[in-house]
Amino acid sequence: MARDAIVIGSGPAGSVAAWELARQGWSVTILERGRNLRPGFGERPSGELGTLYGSDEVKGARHFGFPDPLLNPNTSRTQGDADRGIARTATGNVGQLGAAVGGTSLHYNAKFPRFWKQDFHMLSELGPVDNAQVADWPIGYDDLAPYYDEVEYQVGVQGDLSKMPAATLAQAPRSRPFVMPPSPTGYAAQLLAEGARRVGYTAYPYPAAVNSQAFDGRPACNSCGLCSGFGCAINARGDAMVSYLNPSVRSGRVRVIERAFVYRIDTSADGRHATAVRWRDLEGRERALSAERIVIAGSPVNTARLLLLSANSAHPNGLGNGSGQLGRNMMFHNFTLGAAVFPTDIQPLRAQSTTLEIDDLVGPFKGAEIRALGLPYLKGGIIQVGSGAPLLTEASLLAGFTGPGLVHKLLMKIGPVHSKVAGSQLVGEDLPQANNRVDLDPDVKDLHGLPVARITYSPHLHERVAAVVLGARIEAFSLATPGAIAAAIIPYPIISSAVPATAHLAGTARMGLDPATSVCDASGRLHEVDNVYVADASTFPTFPGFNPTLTIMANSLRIARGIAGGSA
Amino acid sequence: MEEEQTPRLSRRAVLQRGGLMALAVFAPIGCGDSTAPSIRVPVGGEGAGPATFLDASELAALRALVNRFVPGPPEDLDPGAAEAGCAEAIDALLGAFMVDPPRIYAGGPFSDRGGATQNDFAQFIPLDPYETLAWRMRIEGSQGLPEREFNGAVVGLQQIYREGLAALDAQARSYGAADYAALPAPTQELVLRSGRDAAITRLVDVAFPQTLELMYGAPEYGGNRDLAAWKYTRFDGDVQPRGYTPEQVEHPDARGLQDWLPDLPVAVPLEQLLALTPLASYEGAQTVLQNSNGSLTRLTTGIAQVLAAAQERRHGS
Repeated sequence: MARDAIVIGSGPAGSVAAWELARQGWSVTILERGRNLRPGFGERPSGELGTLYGSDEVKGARHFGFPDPLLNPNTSRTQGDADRGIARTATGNVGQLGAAVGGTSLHYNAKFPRFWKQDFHMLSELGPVDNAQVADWPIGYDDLAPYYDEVEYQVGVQGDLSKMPAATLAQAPRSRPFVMPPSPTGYAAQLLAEGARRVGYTAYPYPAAVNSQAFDGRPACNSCGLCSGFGCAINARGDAMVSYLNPSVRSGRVRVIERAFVYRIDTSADGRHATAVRWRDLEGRERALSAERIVIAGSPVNTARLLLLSANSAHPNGLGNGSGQLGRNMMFHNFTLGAAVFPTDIQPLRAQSTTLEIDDLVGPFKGAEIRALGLPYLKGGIIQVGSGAPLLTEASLLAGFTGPGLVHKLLMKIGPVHSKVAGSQLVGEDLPQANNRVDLDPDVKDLHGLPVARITYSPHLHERVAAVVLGARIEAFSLATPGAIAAAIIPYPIISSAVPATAHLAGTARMGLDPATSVCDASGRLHEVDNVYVADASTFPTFPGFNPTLTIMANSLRIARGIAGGSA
Repeated sequence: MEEEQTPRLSRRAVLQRGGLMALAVFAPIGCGDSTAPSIRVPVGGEGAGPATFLDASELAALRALVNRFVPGPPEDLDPGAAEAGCAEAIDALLGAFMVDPPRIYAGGPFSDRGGATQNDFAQFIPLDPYETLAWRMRIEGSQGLPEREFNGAVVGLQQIYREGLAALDAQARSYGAADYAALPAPTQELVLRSGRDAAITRLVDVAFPQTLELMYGAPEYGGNRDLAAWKYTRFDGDVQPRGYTPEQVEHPDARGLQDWLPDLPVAVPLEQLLALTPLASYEGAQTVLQNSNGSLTRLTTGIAQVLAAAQERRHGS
């Protein structure tokens, strides 16, 4: 008998899971809240797909490929707001990822570092932190390594093994070289790399799912610089769509239903077995489908919302929430931003964005200065080196600074941001906290009248200290950068407790061995429901400071292979 | 027309004096309606007529307004938002659903500026029912329709513009002018800054960010006419499918005249500006921009938070 599955979400986790199940002969239906933006999808090889994207900032500003904040808002508040009984302080695109066939990977930055060995055993190796739920993963680096390899070769990752620091290779050992060499390094990034060298840091080519040479029928990147937030205009980026979803739909065993707004998973009376997935289509009609296995890959906020909306008499607090942990441990990477300022145009946008990576602030740091601030240790993350911001972004930011008028225009003519700043970002680890959580907003509804997700979030002391202590080091190498006349940092977690606007989300349905403290087991399956799996970053027990998409894909491949192999 | 003298500072001097400088805003006294003749922007693609929501007098007020946001000659030699077509482009957005497909999302992947033979941006993307509902709500408001009021009534852009522009004309009449466009620029400025009329405040809150979107975005949306804004910012714009060669990526362009900025008749508070520069990244910018939700007021609050923190750091160190 043919085996079948429903996958909820067609982003990196969902696409990889569907691809693997189809490869093993399963038939798969993917339910996706967005629509298709790649003409030819499912009909032509990935190298021949068109795109509705382009180097067009206005589309980004108008939520193209995202949920519309009027129809599908999220709401948010800080832990302090929650303590004071405030229902929400923000409504809109807070904590939102893309909504399109292929998910957020359509317009991601395609940076593909691996997590490190130490990240999987944080509790046992480094110990607990007050007011945080630090945990070990139920798997280790070695469990994930073969899947890292496989995904990197399927997607096509560029990099240079010979330039990677020994510490990085010891923590994230590789059995094979990269698929292709790195793209040219931008001038701005080269300058920052020299600044980093002067303070003892090593900048090296950032592993990235970007073609530096023709691969899989798609061309090499030509360094237009408009990467993050833009769909690649020339199809030079590997992603969930071109590398997994389109090939699997073309295999005939995977179909995608667009604009399917999933709102409920039904279970048997005893709650042990999911019997149907319910969604609404664009006309508001209620639809339902059943399958042997259900794989949730909606990304952390949406996955938690769906499981909470699925509460029934057998699961009164949400599907699979016997532990009370569902929706908790919501994590966002806290970016600390650095800038080296130059008197002349250093062309920050003229390169594949952030072409270099620095690992010297990954940590853990355990010095007296950290302990004096009340923390047993500090973990930072990688630094993305050599970013720039395009023109409309600059204009919009300066607007909040000058207001309307001539001063704004004159500043635009100087071009401080789009031409004279070389940026760096620390991708800061966020510790899991019980009170950083997703629940259902008591008042605000989506277009179908269902409660939206409410995110309660405040950074932990750990993130605030990391931003200051490690931010100072970013300021130092930015100042040491040849030609720089000034440097500055913005340590976000100490400025604001609001939810950071980042595409890096994790937590809400953590994996673990103990059903009393986790939502899923090591296979991704809900402890309390036999045929429902979570395959996205919701499963991450902790959120080390690396771009997460590669690990999301590798972990989803591992989970899907477990489902298909029956061993899970 | 007299032009107020403002000290001319070299860029170097601006950078060196840094935070000690005050923000010097100036506006020429006595220049009347400084906008160029109106420019009609063709909208709706091949065969479609121009979409217009505003009437002629509203459009005249809007032209005057956008030129306060991004002034052109004589205050600055480069074209302002009115010359660049931003008023007509806003009008086209307000009337987006009068043409098919609605002019919300330009097509892709290429314009004809980066070596492509045809301009895909010029063909707007048909909206699906989800996008249609969202943009009709945003532009037209909820209009009492239950399918648009699941979170209560929504005031649309059409109403915000129509009421705001009418309020500008009403204020102008209280200054003895026929309408807003007839006021001298400094008085136009005063009307915007007085904060006496909620409709004006609400208008500026969305109209300034939208003017910037159209001024600094791709010209297919109707603003940035003749690439005026990309020229005066020396922004390359969209360069696909040509892209850049490895040589262009790895080495700076030869220094040319354009790298020596004209002296600027403005003093910038460098330290404050410096505090903003790290926003030069997707993540940094998005944190501030997303939380603002297209509202100038919320954006200003967010920026003020960043600046205050930078100030605190400086005093603390």
